[in-house]
Amino acid sequence: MANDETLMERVSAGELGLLGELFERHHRGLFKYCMAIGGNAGIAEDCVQEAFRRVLQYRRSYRGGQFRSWLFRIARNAAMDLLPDQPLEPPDEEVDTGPGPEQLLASGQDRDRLRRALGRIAPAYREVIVLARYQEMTSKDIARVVGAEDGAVRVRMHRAMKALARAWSELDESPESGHERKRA
Amino acid sequence: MKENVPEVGAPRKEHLPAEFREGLDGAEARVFDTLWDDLDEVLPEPPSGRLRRGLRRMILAERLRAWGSGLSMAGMATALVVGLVLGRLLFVPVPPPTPDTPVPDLRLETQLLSGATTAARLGAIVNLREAQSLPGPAAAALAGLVANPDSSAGIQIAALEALLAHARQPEVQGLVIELLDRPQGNPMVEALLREARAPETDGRDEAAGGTRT
Repeated sequence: MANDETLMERVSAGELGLLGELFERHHRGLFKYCMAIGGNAGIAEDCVQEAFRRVLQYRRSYRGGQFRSWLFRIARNAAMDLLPDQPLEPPDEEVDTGPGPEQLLASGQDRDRLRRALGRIAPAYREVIVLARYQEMTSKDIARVVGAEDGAVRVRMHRAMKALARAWSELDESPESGHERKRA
Repeated sequence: MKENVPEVGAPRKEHLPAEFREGLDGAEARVFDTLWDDLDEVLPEPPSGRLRRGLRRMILAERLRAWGSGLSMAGMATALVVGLVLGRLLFVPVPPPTPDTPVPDLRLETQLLSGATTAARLGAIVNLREAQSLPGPAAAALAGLVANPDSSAGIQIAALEALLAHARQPEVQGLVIELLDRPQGNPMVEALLREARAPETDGRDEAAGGTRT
């Protein structure tokens, strides 16, 4: 089967039906990415829909290069248009180290808790984690999507993981208890 | 998370990609690795069926736009007919039959499909579309109109819509499948055929939280 770039070139040349194949390959990852930066499923759905609408509309502007980075960059722009107040730049301040790692590992975890922790960190941190974790993007790939330097992405990822660890440790183990102490 | 913590002395598999491990001490790397692994499946799956249908509609709309932008004056006239026919077929509500409503003679309507004027053929197509069921000869005649390259785009689309209105009938399904197997040369007809072929839902919407309004 053709790679993404070849398919997109053919879409660009008028074979619009092939966009369906690109959709099948990427819409799940794109949805999770949009969830990460948009914060809820409704926004994520709109974001995915809008991203593919823009791909269709601006298909002739595709100039080769990695399709996936291009698509996620489009989705990012769409999300920023949908959520003009959502900051996608990382916080200025350094993240506190928070509780020690041993304390974190000793406290046990569940997926809901981790999901909530992910929801508490800055969207710019969620963004790099999700791109690296779910899309297996390198720092160079992520840099193309978020419009930052490669090195800055690595620093952001480090801070993001620290923020996630801290948010996780601050959450009570019970998902229903509501004993969430403070924002990461 | 606990099950991901390696036993003392066990070889440690690297989880967080190497390029993101620079500067981490051992304990921090261990925490990050554990969180990294547990992030699997934390985020929900998308409503794929609904998104897929949305994409199909976008592609159809884009095809129509592209098709319309390439039309000559004669094509524009055809497009006007198409618009009128589609408007009649798709958007004008048909009143329910009353005891006084004349029942169309479907044999006569079928004959009219090969009538001399476009108006007569369109009228017959609309009547067949609204009929309770579609007789075999009428279905075959409609399929013939769709497949005939000499049919106007308006007639092709109206005939296809009439067929699709009776798509629950097995013989009509067979005809539609036959049409699907050969290119029609009309992007609107092909798009409608693909729409007809596409499954209505893949069941994943429900898994993702039901229909969103």
